[in-house]
Amino acid sequence: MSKEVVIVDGIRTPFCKIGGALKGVSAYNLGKVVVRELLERTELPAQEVDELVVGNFLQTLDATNVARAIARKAGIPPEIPAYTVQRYGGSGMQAITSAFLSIRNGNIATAIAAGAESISNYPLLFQDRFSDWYEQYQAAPGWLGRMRQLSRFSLSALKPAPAVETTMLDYVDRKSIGESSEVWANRHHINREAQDQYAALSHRRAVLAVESGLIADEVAPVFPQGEKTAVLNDDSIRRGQAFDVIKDMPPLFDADFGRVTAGNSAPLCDGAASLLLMTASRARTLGMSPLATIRGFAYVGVAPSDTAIGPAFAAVRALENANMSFSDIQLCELHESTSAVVLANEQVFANKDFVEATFGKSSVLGAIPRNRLNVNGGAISLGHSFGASGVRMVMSLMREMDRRNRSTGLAMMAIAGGQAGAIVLERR
Amino acid sequence: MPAAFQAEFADKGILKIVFDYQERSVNLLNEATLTELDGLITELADSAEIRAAYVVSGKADNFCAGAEVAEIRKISSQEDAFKKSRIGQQLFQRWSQLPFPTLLVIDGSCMGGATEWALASTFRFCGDRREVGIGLPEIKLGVIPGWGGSVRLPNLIGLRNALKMILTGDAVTGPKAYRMGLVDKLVPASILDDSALRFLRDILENGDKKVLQRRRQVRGRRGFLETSIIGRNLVQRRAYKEVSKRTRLEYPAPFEAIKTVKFGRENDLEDALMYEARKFAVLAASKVSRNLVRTWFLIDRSRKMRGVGNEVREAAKTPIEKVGIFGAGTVGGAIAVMCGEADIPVRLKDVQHDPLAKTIERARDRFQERIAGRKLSEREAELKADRISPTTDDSGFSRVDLLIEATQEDAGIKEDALHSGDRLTPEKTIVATTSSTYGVDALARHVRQPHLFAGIHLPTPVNNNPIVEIVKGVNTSPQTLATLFQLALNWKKFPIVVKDKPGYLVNRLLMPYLSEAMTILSSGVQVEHIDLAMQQFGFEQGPLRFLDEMGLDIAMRIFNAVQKEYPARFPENETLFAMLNYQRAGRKSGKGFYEYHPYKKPAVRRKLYKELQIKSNKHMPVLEIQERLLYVMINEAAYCLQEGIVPHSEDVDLASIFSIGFPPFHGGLLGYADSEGIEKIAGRLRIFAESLDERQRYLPSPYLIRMVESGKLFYSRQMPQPSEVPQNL
Repeated sequence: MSKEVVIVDGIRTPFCKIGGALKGVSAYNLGKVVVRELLERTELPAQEVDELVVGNFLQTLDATNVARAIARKAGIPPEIPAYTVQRYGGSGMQAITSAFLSIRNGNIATAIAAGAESISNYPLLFQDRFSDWYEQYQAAPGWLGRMRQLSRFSLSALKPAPAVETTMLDYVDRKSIGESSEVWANRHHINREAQDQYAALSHRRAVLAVESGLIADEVAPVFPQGEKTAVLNDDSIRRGQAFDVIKDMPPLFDADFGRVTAGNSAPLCDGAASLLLMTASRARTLGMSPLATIRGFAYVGVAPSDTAIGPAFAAVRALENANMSFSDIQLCELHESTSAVVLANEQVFANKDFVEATFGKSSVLGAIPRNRLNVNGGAISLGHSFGASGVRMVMSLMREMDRRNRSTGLAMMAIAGGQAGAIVLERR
Repeated sequence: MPAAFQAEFADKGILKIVFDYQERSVNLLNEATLTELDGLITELADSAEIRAAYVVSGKADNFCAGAEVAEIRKISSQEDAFKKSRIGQQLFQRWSQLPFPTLLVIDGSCMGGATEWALASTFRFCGDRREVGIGLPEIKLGVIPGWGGSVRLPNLIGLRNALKMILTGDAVTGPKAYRMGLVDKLVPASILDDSALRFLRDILENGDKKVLQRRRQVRGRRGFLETSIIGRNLVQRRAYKEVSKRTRLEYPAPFEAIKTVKFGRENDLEDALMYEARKFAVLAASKVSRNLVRTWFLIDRSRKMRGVGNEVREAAKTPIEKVGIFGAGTVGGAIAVMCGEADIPVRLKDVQHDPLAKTIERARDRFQERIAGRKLSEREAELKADRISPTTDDSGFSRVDLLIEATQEDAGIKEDALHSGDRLTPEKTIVATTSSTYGVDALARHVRQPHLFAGIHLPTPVNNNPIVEIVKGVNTSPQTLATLFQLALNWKKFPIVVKDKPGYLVNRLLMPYLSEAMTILSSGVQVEHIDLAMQQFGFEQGPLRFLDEMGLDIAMRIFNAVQKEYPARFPENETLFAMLNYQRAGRKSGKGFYEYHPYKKPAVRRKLYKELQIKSNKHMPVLEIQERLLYVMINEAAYCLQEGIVPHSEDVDLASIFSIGFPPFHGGLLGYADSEGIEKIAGRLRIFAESLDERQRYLPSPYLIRMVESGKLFYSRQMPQPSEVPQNL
């Protein structure tokens, strides 16, 4: 007998660009803030939590299985287990679905699903060239051998390789999600201006959300060590005429023909987010009023070159799992890895021929009106924090469903290396 | 009476002795146990079967707390002290001369006399738990180890280590003890008993070569300074210099300790023990040691909740598992940090983020210090700081056991805070206010359950004042007081229950003292002269420097509160007004009575006298300054006792030592008053009243006059009842 799983509430830290206000705060400290604050705001005693699941893209070297560190720091008693999951940028979404499965199957009744990422604290790696050289130096016989090896040393081998550049690529074609969306944009003639316009829209919406207090509601302050005040605000949102600034930015990947720029793709950020999940009956016993029920989810794999349109495939599968049709969906979040990803999926969703050809039935998807998609901005304006983004997106969707009094919602994201995930929510 | 020592054979020829003193929760060496040990040693010496023996403790976290302090207090004369020292020395001497090897297994705290016993044993083991601590804390009571410890310790662990242990009185952990060779083996606690047995079997079969080899190795590492006569002399001279720098000459014990250690290194055991006993006798019978022992009892009394009355002591305490605090100002922040340090989760609310950030930063700094002092690991410290959960909204209070209202001193804000506290917290939550301006009783009408309402007052400097005043309102229940008392103990503070009247206890004592200093200043005596007079008496800081550290604005606020209640004794303080007019708010503003520079010593400038319009040419004898400052304080203490602010003289003495810096070797304010003579004090006060302005300030209080008339002292009036006599260490 599978249980109905609800999300009671969620919270996040501000998302701040790499090297920004949160640069000194490690992933476990960010995670601690959202888990502890979630417990405080929902007034749930820590010992009532059965498990903590944390999505984290690149393991924190001084706290691998960062979930356990977060649990201890947040005051969750040591008897309660915690584990960490990784699915690239979908790590946060994975945390939600892993916790969801455990609860639905009746293994546990309450869980916190969180995501935390401190990209600022990623290590700098040595290049292979250097480690090879060092290995040979260590193995060199006698001082003469060492001297010989020393003479082969070249300073350029010391150039560090930031982990952030090398870790987020597909295993085979070594492309990040940004690059693969560029490939897609080129192939399907999504022009630069449309991409920049979409990015500007994301910023306008985020500014509105900030002004109406929506963001402040979902953000917990972070107090970095050595600072005199709290960090309260996302720092990627562009106020004023965002388009005018974005339109002149140089391409990121292909200097001559590229269309994906820093302006129309998601800035990498430090941040964390958390959701409180439990069975519906547990929520009733505790007198909590959940914001949403998880109806279903799906992950799919696609050819790495099709990564950008993965969300369409994931959406179809997730809706199928949830026993719902696309026409039921009233609100959508589609992760803004780049403008190109959003625009590509908009095209695919609305392209009846393509949908029919691919899925055998044209009604499984349909056009998503812009006024139902990413209505409070997304990763382009708010920032993208690998482990935390999936959680943040589901939380935004759930809160907006509540605010607009919508009963169904769909959250989707493309995941680097040819994957995508989608979650279907319902509000009862 | 069941025996404290139970002996049985654990194996053929190997005797296991369990030390478990049933009368107390910890093992002690007092007359009873020592007599028993004496009998045991006689028995062991005569037995032919025993080939080895080891001693373990029957208590969970304690091996033995050493000599019973009450017996040190009973020492009546030098002869008596000498005799007691010799008895212990001879006992342990006989123990060390038993015809078979002995082993002490230390798995808990092992203090003073017990450590000396361990030193007289052939071998020592200790467990690897955190509870293990081995120390010789005698110096804290103004004496030196007198049962052979001063002689045996340096022989075992070397001069430098021994001097450090004896001079600081701090206990060393198990690993440290192993490293310095104080114990022969560090064993996982769970297999201690078994490994003791195995070890002794091995010794009996194969001899003690391995152990002695390790001892030689450890000794070998100590190097030139320890192994040569020149080196040892150097070390001793260094120690003497260090101690002279840190210790006042009023405390002779450290100097005598160095001498005894030196003598022990240069002479044979019997002479050295004799020397130690003589030194011990002189120190133990001295006034300084008596007063330090008294101070120890004051602390013990507070820790054990004696002196709060049976009703409070026996009341059921609510376990405090979560604390809520409104207001992250100086006081609220300090309480949050203390809770974090005691591992109690805190929800800390303020309307702004900055004070929250400041509090968290302060917690991190404080725990960083403890990391530096190796009291905590980095991660443990981090976890303590993480216990403070800051917020600007109302969430997170639904499960607090204690709500502390620490908002600004404003009637409206406090009222709102108490009302919303009632709304946010469950029925059973205890509520406490930190207000020093509005009393508990005045605020009690804003809380739903006045019996669960009390005050918590942290005297300045709030961040590291060892005293916490717990303010009892008319309706405050014993349970509430007991709970707060216990919480303050968990904060590692000394709580004092006080009546709800302005100034409570500490500020009532402080204000006459500080304002008298300012009066003397305005009569033309120089700042340094006044401060030096009190430093000569034994205070770490003079009163005017104390004011600078405290902040004159804060002093003003306290002064006003006290003045409103007792206008006759506290007339307008013009110096304080003038100081604040010239922006001399104390150290934090860069200048007060002294001027402060980052790289210079604080100094008084002529400008101060100009601004205060004082001539500063008057000379006043040191003794007169001391008398005026101390006697007005004693007089105020008598008023406090008369009004029942606190019930006992011990409370006043505890507060005076730990919150005002009254020198402990004088034994606390009222203990000092007793030794000076009440009649003399009252007489001097009368003379001050006649010869100085504002005679009301100096007139002896009715309480003091009554004491003179009936010939009583502060401490004779309430001779400790048998049940009140503090008993153990």
